[in-house]
Amino acid sequence: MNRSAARRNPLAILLVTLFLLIPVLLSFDPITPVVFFCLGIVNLAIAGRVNIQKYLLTVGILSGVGVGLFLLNVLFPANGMNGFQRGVTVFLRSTTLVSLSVGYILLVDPYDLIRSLMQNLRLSPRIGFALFAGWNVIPLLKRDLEIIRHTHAVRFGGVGKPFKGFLRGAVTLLSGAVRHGERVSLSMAARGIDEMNNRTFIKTIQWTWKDTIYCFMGFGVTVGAFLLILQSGQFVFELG
Amino acid sequence: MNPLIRLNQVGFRYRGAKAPILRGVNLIIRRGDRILLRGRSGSGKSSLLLILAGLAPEYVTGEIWGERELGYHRRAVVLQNPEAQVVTPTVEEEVAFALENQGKDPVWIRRRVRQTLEALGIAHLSARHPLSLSGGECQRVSLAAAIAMEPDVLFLDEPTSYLDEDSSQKFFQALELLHPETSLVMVEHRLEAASRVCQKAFRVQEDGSLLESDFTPEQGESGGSYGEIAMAWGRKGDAPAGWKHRLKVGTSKRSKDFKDWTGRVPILTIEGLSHQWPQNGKQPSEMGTVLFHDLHLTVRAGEMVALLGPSGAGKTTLLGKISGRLPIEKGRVFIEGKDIVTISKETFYSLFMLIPQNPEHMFLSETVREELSTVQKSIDRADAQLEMERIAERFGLTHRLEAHPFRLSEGEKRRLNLAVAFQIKRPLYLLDEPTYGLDEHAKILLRKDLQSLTEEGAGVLFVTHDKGFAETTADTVYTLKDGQLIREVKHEPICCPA
Repeated sequence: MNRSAARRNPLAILLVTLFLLIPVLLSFDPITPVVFFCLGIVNLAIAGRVNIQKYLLTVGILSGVGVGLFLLNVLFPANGMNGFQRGVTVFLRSTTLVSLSVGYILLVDPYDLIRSLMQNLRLSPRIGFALFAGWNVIPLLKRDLEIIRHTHAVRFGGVGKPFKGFLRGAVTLLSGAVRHGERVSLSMAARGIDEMNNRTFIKTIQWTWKDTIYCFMGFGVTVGAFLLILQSGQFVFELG
Repeated sequence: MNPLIRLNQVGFRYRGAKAPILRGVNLIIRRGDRILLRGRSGSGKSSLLLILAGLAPEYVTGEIWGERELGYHRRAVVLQNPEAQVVTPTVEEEVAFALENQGKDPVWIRRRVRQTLEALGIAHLSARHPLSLSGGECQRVSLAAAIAMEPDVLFLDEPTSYLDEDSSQKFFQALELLHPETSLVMVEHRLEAASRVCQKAFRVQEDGSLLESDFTPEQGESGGSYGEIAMAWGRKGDAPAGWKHRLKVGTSKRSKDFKDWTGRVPILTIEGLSHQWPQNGKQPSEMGTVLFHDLHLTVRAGEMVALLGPSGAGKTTLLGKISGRLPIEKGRVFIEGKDIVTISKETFYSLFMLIPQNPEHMFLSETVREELSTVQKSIDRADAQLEMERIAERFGLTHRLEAHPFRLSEGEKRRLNLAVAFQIKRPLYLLDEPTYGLDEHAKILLRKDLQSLTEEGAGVLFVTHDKGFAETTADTVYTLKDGQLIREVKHEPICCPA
């Protein structure tokens, strides 16, 4: 089971991660991503405990996209551009975006994020628990898809185009998922999800003064670092 | 004493359906009543339960008429499929879910949840994800959630149909924890077990009406005991073909119909098949626990073989290896004399038909008609239509041709699987838990359909937890236990109920 390793409220961590992501999204220089990559690592250390091995492995694998973009720019540079420099910038930018996102995903238990949305941002429990059920169904879908594809392959004697086979499996899987959703919805209704007045939670995710300070600090450090990069003249704006 | 539930001339029709599924239903349920709703698959028992629970037409679209008074304050519902009731990521939260919805104090809820889990003997599961549990454990969690609510009325919709015998017994034992004042409305096909819990039984008739009944099994619907079905058929004298020589009555005298398989052609041959689970985080070559070892099995033309075994014994894994879903590391599997690892994929898949545990996994189309027609593409259009209609009639699906396959009853879904499989002529048929979710009537029809496959010369191998079905249906029964296949001794009878 994916247990949360977060020490802060999942929404607070989300907010600070977004603060760190925005300057990287707006920049097109090699300095800004490096600075915010480092700040992201510091944030991970403050906000919780991440499995370093899993983090490095996931970021490493997903950084393959950045490597591809780097090679693309080096091998096929745009007219009048330094392909190597642009490639390095693109690589750093994409890797920083990946590392910040992966850090958040590994740090925060998705169930805790949904609990926090229901308890701290008044997300309707009807929607919140539907999200719970949806998250639950993901491993079932993986299992079911494997069985469906095998069953269909046997039914059609192993002949046919792979894409058609994939489509067939997807249709069966989706129909099954819709039916499963209906049954879960009925089960939730039977347990009074629509009849509640003041719902309580045995597992609470509270927003504390520490979360507020953490958010302010995250915001302050982000703005400070951004201003320093701006003042140094290293910041290059480019969207996309 | 005021009734908790009162129905007066109630009828119900599902949206889009031509005929009502229930009509003229009168029923009064008082505090402490324990009621069984019985009837054939698709007769409307579950629909009536949903109406009594205030869930239809509120959450199941349809039209209701007549008078319905629901006087209870709290109701709890346990549905058929344990997997489809799981919402939260821990057992503790799952049991607490309804109490949280009621706005109870979290400290009180935790205490109540702990007490309930301890009473049901599943307190050790409290931190587990419900979907990581076995079906039986998961269903007991659903019952714990219902009992924790201290409901006025508990509604149970075939709660043991996905469970093996052992899990079902534990489930019924757990029902003894109900407060004597709690009313119970149960749809259940295990009549013998239900009769120990319920005081009254009502039967939903073919025409949708409701009649007071008893717990006596009748043809096509029984308490799950093979003896009960035998007695019922014996009274009526219309047991289906093949019944006489399949009845196990404990005598040792041999029937003249007894089949000798030794001269038949082997369709499936398994030689020295083994399976070990890989150790966590290691390569498949570094194997871990042995699931089964050096298995030998033969299924001959026209023979039906059942494979029994407790949960986790490796029945489905064995089927996975035969059907190519799992690799064969040690041993050999031959179908029609061909080693399955040496032949092409097309040849391999043309040798057998696989019917998965969940019948929905086989479906492709929007309607039953299309589902049956997909098999007929190679022949002339008019002939295909005739053949499809013939097959639909044979498998009792004519009245459901325009229905979506996912909307059929569990029995009808399984029959649609078999209808498709029947059209695709293959030498070997493999079925994974074919009786899951089926009532006794549907099982009898399934038995006849499987027999028609073997009568055409095919070999059939099915894995099941349903010992009664295996013993009454298969020609040869094996049990997979502790990694070994044990052939069950069948007592070939002369004594028949007819």
